[in-house]
Amino acid sequence: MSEHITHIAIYEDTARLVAHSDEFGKPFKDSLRDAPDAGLVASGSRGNHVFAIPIITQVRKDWKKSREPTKYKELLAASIGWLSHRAMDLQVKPNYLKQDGLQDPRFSTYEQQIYYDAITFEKVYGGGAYPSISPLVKLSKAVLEYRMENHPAAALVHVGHLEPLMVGMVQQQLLSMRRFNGESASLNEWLDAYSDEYQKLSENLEVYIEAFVDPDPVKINRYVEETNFYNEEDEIIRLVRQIQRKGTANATSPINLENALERAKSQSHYAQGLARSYDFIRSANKYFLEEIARNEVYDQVQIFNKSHRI
Amino acid sequence: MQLEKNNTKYSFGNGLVRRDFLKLSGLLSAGIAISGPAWSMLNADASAKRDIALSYLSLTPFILMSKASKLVRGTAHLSSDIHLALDQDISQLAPGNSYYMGMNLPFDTKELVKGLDPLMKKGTENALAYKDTQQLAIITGALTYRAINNELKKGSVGEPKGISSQEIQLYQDAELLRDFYSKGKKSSDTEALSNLFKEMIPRTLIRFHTIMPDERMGSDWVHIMQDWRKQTDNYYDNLAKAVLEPNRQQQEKIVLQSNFYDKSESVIVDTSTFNRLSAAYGDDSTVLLDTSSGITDEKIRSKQAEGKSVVARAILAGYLAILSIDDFWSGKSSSEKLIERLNA
Repeated sequence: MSEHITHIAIYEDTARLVAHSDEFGKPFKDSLRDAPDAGLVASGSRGNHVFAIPIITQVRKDWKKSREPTKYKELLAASIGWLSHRAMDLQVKPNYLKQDGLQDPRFSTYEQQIYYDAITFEKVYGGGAYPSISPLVKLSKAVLEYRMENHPAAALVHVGHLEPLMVGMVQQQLLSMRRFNGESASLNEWLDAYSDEYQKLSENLEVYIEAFVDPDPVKINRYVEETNFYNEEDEIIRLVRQIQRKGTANATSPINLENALERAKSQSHYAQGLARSYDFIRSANKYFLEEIARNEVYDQVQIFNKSHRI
Repeated sequence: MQLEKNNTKYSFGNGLVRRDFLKLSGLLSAGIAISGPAWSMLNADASAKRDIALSYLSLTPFILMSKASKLVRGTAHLSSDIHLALDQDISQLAPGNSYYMGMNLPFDTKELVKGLDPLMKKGTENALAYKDTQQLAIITGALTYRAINNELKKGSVGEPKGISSQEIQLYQDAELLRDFYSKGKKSSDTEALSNLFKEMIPRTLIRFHTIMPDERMGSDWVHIMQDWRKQTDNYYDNLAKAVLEPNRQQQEKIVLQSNFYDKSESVIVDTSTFNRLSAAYGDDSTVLLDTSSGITDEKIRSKQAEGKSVVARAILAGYLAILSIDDFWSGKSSSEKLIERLNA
């Protein structure tokens, strides 16, 4: 799975389940409550295989004597974000339509991934109506519109002319904080490193916008429905939407989390990915509490490459 | 070789200079796996802590760089390589998207100009690949930014006293944003405007596909990103307020009574966002130089002297820097001449 929206959604839903569940202690719950954005950034980032578990090892060692609880909350939340990213990647990547087998120029595996994001934006965020758990994330349906045209402030400024500068500013800021920028001994060294260090504009937002604003029914069928990407009837999804939209799970007809997690294993990809994400965080929590050893946590979050088991 | 200050305040704190970084990278290349213990080792390196401050989050240099580029692209006879290196298109992998990234380059003018040589050689062999044009964009951006920033620095001498530099930059950003990008409608809904800016972030992150952490920073990356996220969020709030509901006295002092900006100057009028500038079509521009017989030092000096306010001088300086690069690129002047012109 490569796309931003589904990854942050799985992370946010995982955070909701962690808050709801009674099997997590204060460190995990408080981190997600107080530093939700650190986890959200990590959930949209690469590097889960090298960051997630070493960070928990580090925090586990130091957090009790730390005078900087904020820092540790950011780290734990980030670790959770990275593991949720990993869980969804492992869930959906093997299940995309195979480009070789498509045999129809209307379809592409690439576009299918983008349709998943558009569906997530609709189903999880209500097209921007339901806010992110991070106060630093602002969403509305304008996020997936041409020139953000229905945004109330789009009447005030020429988005089409201003946005390229804003995009350039984000790229420039992210580049400037990277170590190579100060380390490179020569211009050639800097330029050689550049293509691996800068954030490329590799995605055409228009494909996302089309998938969200004006989805093709044939593609919805082939990409989303036939593959059972998202089913709002799945118990785990119903539970997490209750928590998201009502602030708490429904008390009159409660959904048991453990049962929902178990049933999710044969349900939609989103349900499976969320359940797997929850499982990964549960393993991370056990490792944090020293109930399982390092080898075990690596096995459970499915990091098998020896050089990544740091 | 001087480590030039770049425009961001993600500066290396505690006197960490390139020498220290080299030592560090020496350690890394000495066989310590980067994805392994290296990150925790670097993590423990207190000297790598950075000082992050809001003041360098500023839209003005981006606006001025884009205006310099607009002027140049209106110029007839510009070589197509330079043209391509300036063409930005955020919906695809255009080499010109790296133009602004040149702001970060920590090398001196001489080294940057020297970096054009191998690219020029490929250009004459018609062998410029995507990556080469991207490098041309970066170096052109770096030299343009320096020319612009130089004028901004000179201009800052005339800024009002008793107001923080952040506040001054914010009001400068807001003034340019209003004149160049607003649609002229009245509103006091600063929250809506701030949200519009903020919603451009997830749009940008989608365009990135995924964010790339700097593995060598280890877990410090998490904190630096949080600092950046908060600073950015704060900047957008302040910018929206400064655009829609400026403190008139502040605005008066920072923008109108200082020499920062005079909207009646022809270079500023000519670079209006929807103006067409094209010497090739004979569009009426009082600013564009006639480059049909090349450029001369005299032409450059007299054109630069036309700019009175800081903004006008900065746009002209950027424009003339790119014209000078183009003059060199098309074989009309030497690299020594280019360095001399850029350092003038």
